[in-house]
Amino acid sequence: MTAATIGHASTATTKHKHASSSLWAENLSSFWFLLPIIIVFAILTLIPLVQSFFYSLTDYDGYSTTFNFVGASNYVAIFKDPSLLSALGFTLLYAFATTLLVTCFAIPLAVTLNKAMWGRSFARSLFFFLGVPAQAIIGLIWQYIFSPLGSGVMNKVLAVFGIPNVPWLADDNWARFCVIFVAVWMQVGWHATLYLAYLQTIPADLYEQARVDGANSRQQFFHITLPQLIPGIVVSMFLLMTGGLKIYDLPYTLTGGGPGYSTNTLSQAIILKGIGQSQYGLGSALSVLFTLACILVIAAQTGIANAVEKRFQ
Amino acid sequence: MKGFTKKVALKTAVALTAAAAMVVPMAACGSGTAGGSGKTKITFYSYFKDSQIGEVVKGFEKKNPDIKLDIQYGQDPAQYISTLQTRLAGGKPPTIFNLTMDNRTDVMKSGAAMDLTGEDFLDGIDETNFALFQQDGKTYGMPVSAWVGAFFYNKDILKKAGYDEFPKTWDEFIEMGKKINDSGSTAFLEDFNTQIAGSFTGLLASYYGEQGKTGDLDEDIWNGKSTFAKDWTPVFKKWEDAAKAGVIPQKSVGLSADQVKQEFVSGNLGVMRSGPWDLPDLEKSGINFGVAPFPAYSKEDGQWINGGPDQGFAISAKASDQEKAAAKKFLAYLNSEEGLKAFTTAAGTLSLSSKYTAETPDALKDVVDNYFKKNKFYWVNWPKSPTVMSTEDIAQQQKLVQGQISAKDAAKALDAKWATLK
Repeated sequence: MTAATIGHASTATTKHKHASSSLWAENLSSFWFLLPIIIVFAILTLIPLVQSFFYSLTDYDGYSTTFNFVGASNYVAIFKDPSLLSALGFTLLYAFATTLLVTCFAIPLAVTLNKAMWGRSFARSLFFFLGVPAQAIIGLIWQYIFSPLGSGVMNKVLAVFGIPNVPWLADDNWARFCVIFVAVWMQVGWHATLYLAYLQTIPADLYEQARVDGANSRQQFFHITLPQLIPGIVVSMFLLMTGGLKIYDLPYTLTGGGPGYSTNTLSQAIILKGIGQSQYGLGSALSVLFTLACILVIAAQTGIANAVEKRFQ
Repeated sequence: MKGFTKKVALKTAVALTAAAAMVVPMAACGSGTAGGSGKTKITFYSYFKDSQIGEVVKGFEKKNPDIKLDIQYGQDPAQYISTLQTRLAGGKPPTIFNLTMDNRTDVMKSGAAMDLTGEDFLDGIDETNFALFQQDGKTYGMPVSAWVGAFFYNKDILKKAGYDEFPKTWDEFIEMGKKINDSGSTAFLEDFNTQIAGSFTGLLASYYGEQGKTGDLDEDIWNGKSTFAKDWTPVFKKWEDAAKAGVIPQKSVGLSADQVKQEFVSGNLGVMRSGPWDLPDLEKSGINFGVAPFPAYSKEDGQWINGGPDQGFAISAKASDQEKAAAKKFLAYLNSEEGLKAFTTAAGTLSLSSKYTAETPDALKDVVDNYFKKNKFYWVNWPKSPTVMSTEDIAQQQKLVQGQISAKDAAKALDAKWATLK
């Protein structure tokens, strides 16, 4: 081994040491930045989740300080209870339907609002503000609009065209439709605003070149706009799916979970069982299963989104 | 290093100040002796709103200047139950709280309420009114007021359909309902999204009465001698007849109590189920209305109304002796002529105590004098898990009106749910 080789090796080792020390310092600073959120996550999510799992194995009623271990009987009870299975079904229907419909309506709306036109700022604000009021208030307002009575707003409008009254909130399927319709109505503007932000980052050159090459509007949308919007679609769909799975206030105020249990959601069931009905054990078991279901759905969605993102990269 | 120490010291000081800022008000939230004033401080978590019980609290504090009553109000029944539950489970119970129809069994079972049996301040309230707030022979709550529910009808719409008087039996009610529907108005609406249908419980009470039952009408079901399938199926069938005839329309499934009332005051609705709480709005609307008991199951003299004691007032079993003494003074004031007058007038309820009798509004005179005072009032009071059972009952009634299930299915579903409860 020559002196030069040794010198090179020594320099490389020093560089490596420097690199790993700088990486370590960087990791440490990242750790300090992450520490507050880790603590918040542990206190507000992890510990309650572990507690929920513990209580899910008991008959704790939320009042007594004593309780008994009942094994998996709370989990068995969930799968035997038709109201809880109905809540699971509607929650999934709501989450998937609102995610797809809002995405399908928000993108064309964002593209339209991105065009130069008279009153554009007003139109943007108008659609954005649809989603600003609390969901509970929106639910109460739409309860009057979708009233199954002849004096209900929708039925009055239909009567003008000679269409008989529709039992909006008094029929299982119509009630499901109403909840999903209102959810789409109030969220589409907010998500269009999100897409608008992504649309404004697409270089104008791409469209100019496409026009020079003779691409029409449809081709420009499918070959430039849509692929460029993929990161936005991933974010928007993720927010919609997570929000959809935990939906509570809108169906609670619009339909109260009825008729029967047709628009009952898992969040409603957890609160009703755990707090309203003093079945903490059952409510906790439901929460644990709900968390697992959410992890599965979100993991599947993230996997699909990553694959689509890679495909368009 | 010095700078670092200073920084740490500064951070520690900020953290301690912040912690103290959080702890001091929390400490102030507790009961005991009000800081330095020598007053006994007690807390009251009230089911009733400020507009209903605020005057009682003011009157009590005026009469008892040595006691400071710190009152907080529940926003709605569900929130009241959950907040009280959290406070009891967390070991921070209010000195005084209310036992509601939905949480009374759980609270009494948990031992959170003090035993009030034999206390002097309960005098004047008939023993039967304590039944809802008793367990193993001990009394845990004091109800001072009662509510009633009946059919409110639009006299003009009934007259148009050819009726000067309200029908006395359920079959006659269905016939009248058909005629009102044919005349272009809506015969009947009721909110049974948030509570059990009052028309159903009225019919059920009448059925029980015709069977010669007295006392706790559902007792045989509660103690396992009978079932919902056996006792309730005939009533579900009778009630379903009205749904099949369109007198209880499918559209009533999706309505709130406010929507029903609006339909009534706008003059489009013939009959609704209501109570004294709607009287001010109805009188203001100028609608020509009357109040009648629920039509009987089959016999003309078998009519009943909805009703029962309101929420009971309870004292925390964990309160100190000093706090318990102050809380007892409050309950004694509430069950006095002055307290009862202030409370029942503001809350629009009837006094259950002989210490004060309010003037009954004209519209309610018949149902109060001939039914309430003669103990012909009833409401389902589930002795186990009330919210579980009422939620199930509401769902089954909605399905029944929608025609999705039969009367037999509805009763069977209640039996199945009842069997799952401990």
